[in-house]
Amino acid sequence: MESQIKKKQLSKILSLHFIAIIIIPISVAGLFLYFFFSESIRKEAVYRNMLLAESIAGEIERFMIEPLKILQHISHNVEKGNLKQGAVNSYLETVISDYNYFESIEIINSAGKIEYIAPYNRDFIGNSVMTEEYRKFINISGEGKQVYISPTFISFQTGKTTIAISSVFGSNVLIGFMNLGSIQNIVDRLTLKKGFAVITDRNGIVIAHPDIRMVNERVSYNHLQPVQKGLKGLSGTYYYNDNATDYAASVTNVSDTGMVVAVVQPVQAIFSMLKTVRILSFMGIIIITITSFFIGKVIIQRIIKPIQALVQSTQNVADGDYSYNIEDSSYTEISEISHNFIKMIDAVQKREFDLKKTRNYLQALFNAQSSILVSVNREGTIDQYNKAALEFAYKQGLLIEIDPIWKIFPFLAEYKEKIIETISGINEILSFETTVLEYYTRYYSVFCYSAAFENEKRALIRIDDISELKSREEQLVQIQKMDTIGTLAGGLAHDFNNVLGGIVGTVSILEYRIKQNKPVEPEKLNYHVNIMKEAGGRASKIIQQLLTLSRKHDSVLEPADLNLIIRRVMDICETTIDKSVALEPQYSDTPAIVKADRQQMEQVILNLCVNAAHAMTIMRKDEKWGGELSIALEKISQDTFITINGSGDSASGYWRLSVADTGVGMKKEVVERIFDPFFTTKEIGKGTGLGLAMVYNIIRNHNGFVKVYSEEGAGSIFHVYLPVSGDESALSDTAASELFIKHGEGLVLVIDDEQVLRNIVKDMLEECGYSVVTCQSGTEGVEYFSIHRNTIKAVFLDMSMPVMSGREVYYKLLEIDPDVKVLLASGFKHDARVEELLSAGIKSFIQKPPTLQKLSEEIYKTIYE
Amino acid sequence: MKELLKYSIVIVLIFNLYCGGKEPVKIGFAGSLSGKFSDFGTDGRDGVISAIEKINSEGGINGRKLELLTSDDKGSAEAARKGDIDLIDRGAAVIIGHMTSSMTMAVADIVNEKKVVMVSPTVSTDLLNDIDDYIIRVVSSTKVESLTLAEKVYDLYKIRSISFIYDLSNRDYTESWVKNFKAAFSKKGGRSIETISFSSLDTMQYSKIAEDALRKGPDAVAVVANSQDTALICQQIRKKTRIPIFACAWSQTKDLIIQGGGSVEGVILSHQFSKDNVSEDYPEFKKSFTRRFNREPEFPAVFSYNAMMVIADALKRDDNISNLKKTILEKREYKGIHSNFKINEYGDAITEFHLISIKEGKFVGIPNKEEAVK
Repeated sequence: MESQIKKKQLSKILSLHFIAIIIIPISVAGLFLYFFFSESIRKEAVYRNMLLAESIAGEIERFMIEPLKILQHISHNVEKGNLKQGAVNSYLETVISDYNYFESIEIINSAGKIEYIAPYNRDFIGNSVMTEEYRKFINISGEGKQVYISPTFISFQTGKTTIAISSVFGSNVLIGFMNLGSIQNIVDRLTLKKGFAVITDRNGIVIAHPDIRMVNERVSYNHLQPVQKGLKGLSGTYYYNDNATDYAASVTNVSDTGMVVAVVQPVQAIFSMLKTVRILSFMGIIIITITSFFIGKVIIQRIIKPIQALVQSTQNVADGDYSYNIEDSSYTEISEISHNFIKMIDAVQKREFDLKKTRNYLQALFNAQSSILVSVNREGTIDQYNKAALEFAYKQGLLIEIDPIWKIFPFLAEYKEKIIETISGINEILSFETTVLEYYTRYYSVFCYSAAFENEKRALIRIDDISELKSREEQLVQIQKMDTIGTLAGGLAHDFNNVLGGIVGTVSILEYRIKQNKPVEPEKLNYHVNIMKEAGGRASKIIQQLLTLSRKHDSVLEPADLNLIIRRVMDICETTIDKSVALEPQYSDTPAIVKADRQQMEQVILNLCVNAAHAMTIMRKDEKWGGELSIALEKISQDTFITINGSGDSASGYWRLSVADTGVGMKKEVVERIFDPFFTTKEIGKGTGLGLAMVYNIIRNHNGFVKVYSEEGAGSIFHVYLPVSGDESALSDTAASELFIKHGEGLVLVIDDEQVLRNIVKDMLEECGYSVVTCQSGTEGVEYFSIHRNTIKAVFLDMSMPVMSGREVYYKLLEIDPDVKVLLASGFKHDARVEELLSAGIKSFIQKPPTLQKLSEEIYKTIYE
Repeated sequence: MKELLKYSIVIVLIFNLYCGGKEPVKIGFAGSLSGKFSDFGTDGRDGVISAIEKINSEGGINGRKLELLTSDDKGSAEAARKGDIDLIDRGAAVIIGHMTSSMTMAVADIVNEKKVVMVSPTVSTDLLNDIDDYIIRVVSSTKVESLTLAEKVYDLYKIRSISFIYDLSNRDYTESWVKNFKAAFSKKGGRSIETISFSSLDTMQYSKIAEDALRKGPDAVAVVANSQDTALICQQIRKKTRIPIFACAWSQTKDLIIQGGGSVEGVILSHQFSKDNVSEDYPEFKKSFTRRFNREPEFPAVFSYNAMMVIADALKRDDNISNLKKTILEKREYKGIHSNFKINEYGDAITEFHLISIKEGKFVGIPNKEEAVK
């Protein structure tokens, strides 16, 4: 969680807060004032502009009043006939020269002709002018008005902007032509920094403008919105854009004339005060900000300094330097922190010491283990290890902290996926045994325990070299087997004796008959031979059972039907167990397939049966012998009980094989120790105490487990649980497998010193379709091979031969033909010599004595694969 | 913030591309804009403004807006030359103007030398006829005007002798007008009795001019002057006699009626523009012009509008300014706001003429011979 919090520097936060406390109110107040003032400034500016326009309009109105009065006065005088005859012209001339308003004055009579004109021009007198067009031109319309004002026009006499003021009296019209040049003066007088005033006539044509060209050229402003408003009689301030500049124009119109006055200023100029206020506001805010920043910095520095000193001191402590020197501060709070911190350091130091001590102790404990102990992470890198692990890696010239665990312990590679699952915490525990084929076969027991913590995924792995334990176990099994045989021998001897009795008896009968020259009828002879044959057959079977039992072999787990195994054990038991014991085997309806070593499993069941029988016979000292030995087979599904006891990975359930007796039973204390090696309740010489220990071991190696239930005086029951194997197809039932032999062809050289075996092998190979040549010694074989090496497809080679051993023969053959194909035969696979040759290049191996099927497979493999 | 900035830049760039990206085409206008006789010039200028505002409101020419530059020739050759050089220096791609023949003749060498096309709306002098130069006109030459009028004067109005009054201030127009009229009139059998000239630039006595022209008792008088001078001369003539008065196209503006009053009633002239003979586009043009300038357009405005539209038509086809002359001349037939017209390979327009008379203070087209005879 802590790592997710974004770290901030206290000094920065304090500075920011300090600045914020000052700036925010000032900025808000500044902005508020700015907006408040800007609004009133804006209004004020607009008001002033408008005022200017109105004052100009007023000035024009005043300018117009006088000429209007004069004109009225003239018309009054002329109308009333106040002037002497012929004095009108001079009167008009006087008006023009005295008042300087008019350029010319004319009086048009009722005929529409010019009667008087001043200044006098003869050419104009009598000109017929008053047409409808002319009335429009000078803007005379109807009656009722005293004076009429025309739109502006260019005087054809002066070429200047002119306006005509007319007064109608009677049927005459008095017209005064007024030069508007003086209006231009009003505009010219106005001094605005960037703005200007413009006056247009009632048609929007410029009649006064600072740029006189605009006036002279009679430019129309009719298209500008403010002028349009003015022409409609509106007054106010309007905004428009011209040439990418925003203008504010205050417009008003001059009464009667229809003229429009507009005072135009660029928005920027009219509101220039606004800009100043804005600049001042922002400058103020900036200055206050900067000042507050520096003041804040000084204050904060004073607060931060002792904290920084404390930070430095704690940094030293964090770096492992406990010789702290924390300065006391003048601030109570910081001083308190310092003191608490000193206390904390003491506590930490003490705890660290304790931790170190514990850690050293644990490390020693770790190293003291003979097992290899490593801690491994997801990448397969070892990050913790004990001495044994280091030595293991060192012996191989590998670096334990660098090389991945799969390289250091190659036998783990096969289980890589499962180990990674354990590291990731998917499985909690993983344990397995593994075999490494080196010069000698080595066995390792691996125990992997998930040690995932938070995000750190790892596992602790313990590796034990159990090769020695394995070999001891094997020896133990062998010893126990012999023990069992010894136990069985009494029964066997009796049986065997019976058999021999049958043979010897028959033979003596026949011998007697022959010596007595008594004829033996063919039927009789046949009968006797049959008895002998049967007895011989039985003897052979007994011997075979014995041999099977005593044979030492490699443990091979393959699918096997427990029903068949029980049946075989029952066969042995029938001949060996006391007849007072009734055998009650119950078989399952379906094949009970488990992955098992058939021989070991037979040994287990036999052991349990022998024990059961003993409990009902020899263990009963004074009571009558006998009872019921029942064997049951039941499939049970996975349940909690199984999960706790079993390895937990048999999803398809377990086969439970139960051996029950009605014997003496056991006390609780005995039951508890029953699987201990060398623990026995039998009389000395009757048991080694290894039987159940071996049962326990074998079943454990089969991923199963054994449970016992016993009641003293009532009997015992042993439950053997074995995981169900679904792999029925791979079931290598002898009867079934014998049906298939692999056929081939070509010449096979058989080198074996034992004649019986040599012949059997020859017969078997010929059965498979091969041609066979036999040699009785290594020397002979090598010689034959050197001659016929091109025709010989493969060599069947016995390992143990006198004079030249199989090993020597192989190397000679190799010299002759490096590609020679050899099938090695020996009674013992785990023989150093056999292992040497297998690693030297021999492709295949067969255990003696070979079966037809096995031989056919192995020779086929040797030649064709 | 960065995103915003990025988008702003893109928007500004796009905006520039569409609006500010293309330089405007500068259109020069040259004419008499101030002074006594500025009505012709200002009306022409307003016609050009009207056309430019219409074109710009429709998005300009191939995305380029038009910008108007004006120059006032003040009716003086010197000012005209100076003004045109100034227009060219300011980047005018083409000049619309001048409004009188004399001013146009005064600057002809400049535009030809600088190879700047000058489209004149109203210049009709014969001096420019059949010359391959940079001056293009949208009105027919004086020759056609005076010839048509002379024939009508003789045939329709049965005038056999006539006196002339003409203004020397625009002699390039007036002189050829008079010359051609005389030639056609005498060819018909008519007699030119008196030829009086004056200059509107000087102070003059209109009564004296009228007297001189009437001294030998002609059947009619032809006044070849601007509207105001024509009006005032008519005033003087009417004080003395009721013989028919003929005027030139130059004088056909409102001022003639205002100043002429009752004296100009019945004056006859020959003109390419008659309010009674206009295209279907004219009412719309008149409406928008009146709205814009608060007055009705006169013929200079109409022809200036046409001149601008001829230029726009050519630029739309090829906006390469150096090809402008070629582009204009390539297309012979143009649609005018008053009527359609042709421009020949020398840049001279050929248009129809109408007889116009003033009746009750209004210019009225004379529809047919019969009407005229009455």
